[in-house]
Amino acid sequence: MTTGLQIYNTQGAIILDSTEAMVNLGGVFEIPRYIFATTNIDGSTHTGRNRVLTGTFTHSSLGKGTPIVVPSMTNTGSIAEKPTSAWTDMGDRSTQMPDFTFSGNTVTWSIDCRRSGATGDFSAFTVGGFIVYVGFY
Amino acid sequence: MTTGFESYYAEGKIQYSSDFKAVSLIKSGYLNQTDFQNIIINSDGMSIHVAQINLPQGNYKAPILFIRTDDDVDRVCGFVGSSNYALVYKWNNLNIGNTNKIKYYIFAQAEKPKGDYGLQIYDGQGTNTANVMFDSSWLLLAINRVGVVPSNKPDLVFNSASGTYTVPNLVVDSTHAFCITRPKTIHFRQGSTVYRLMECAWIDGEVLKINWVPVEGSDTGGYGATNAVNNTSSTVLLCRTTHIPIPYSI
Repeated sequence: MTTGLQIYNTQGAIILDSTEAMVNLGGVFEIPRYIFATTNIDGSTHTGRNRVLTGTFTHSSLGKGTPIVVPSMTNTGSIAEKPTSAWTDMGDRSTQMPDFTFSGNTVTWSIDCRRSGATGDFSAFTVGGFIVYVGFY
Repeated sequence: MTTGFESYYAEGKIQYSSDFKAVSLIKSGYLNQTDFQNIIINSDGMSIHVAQINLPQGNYKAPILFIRTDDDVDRVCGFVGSSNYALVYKWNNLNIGNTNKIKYYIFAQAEKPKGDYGLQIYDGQGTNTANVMFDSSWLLLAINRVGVVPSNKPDLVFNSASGTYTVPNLVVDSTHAFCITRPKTIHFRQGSTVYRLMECAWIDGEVLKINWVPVEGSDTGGYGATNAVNNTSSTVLLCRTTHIPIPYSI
């Protein structure tokens, strides 16, 4: 090895090599679950579909290497928690993932509802719902 | 940092900093055909095939899901939910059998017992278990290689033959498992109905291939044309599993 940490277990197998990265996570933020209630979802009138939701979060760990985010979804629920209607009506508990961009110590998230789609038999439209861990590798 | 421990690897980048609790294995195991539930979406025959991994009890945060699978039939996507579970999706019409073809590994920043050998690093606040930031006896997450899937890939076709994207400049070997840290989603129209699909992957020899798996849909039609919902690239992490037991749970 030339630089870095190299660790072996008692059997002589390598646990961590000097060429390998570790995921260092230091901050966490929440993307709220947004519910756009409307009585008439369709492509022309549904207000939620015309929005781009966005926000920022700043943490010093993001600037220490290649930034990384690990989103954990709070919107969907487990299989048992998620009613059948939520699987078949795409506006209900959407699994749409956010986009993330980085600048220095700041991550900007966005959810483009214009690209989300919705179905006709659910009277609200939901996106978001994430716990996001941030850091670097 | 002013105090503590840091190690560095290529080009002066920080490999590990004791400002952060090291990420280590909390659970590993297999998924088989019988682990997946079939949820019928509509009369067109579209179903969602989903398996739930229940995360173990324990004091941890920031769980990250890695997968090893070696066949396009086994291609899966997945994510971790915040209520101590992870969901993994596959195609309902592709039978993976029950021979442990899909391996999963979940890592997290976990409070674990101290080992009795090797390197230990503390947070400077004490020597209790909660104060350990790094312990070489933990089953540490080691990122071996990193790939990128551009924002406009894979194509908006969910056929593994025509729509598959191969991650460039990423050589995969038999020891690797993969994680798409933020899988892309797409909105897909087929006839009068719409579906949401998520970026999935599988290992094909020495390359990682990317396509789509449905995660929800419509039983009554829907709105919007086929398009990419996410317009940013995806990061693919490859971890080494040679030191990782399976099955395992904290």
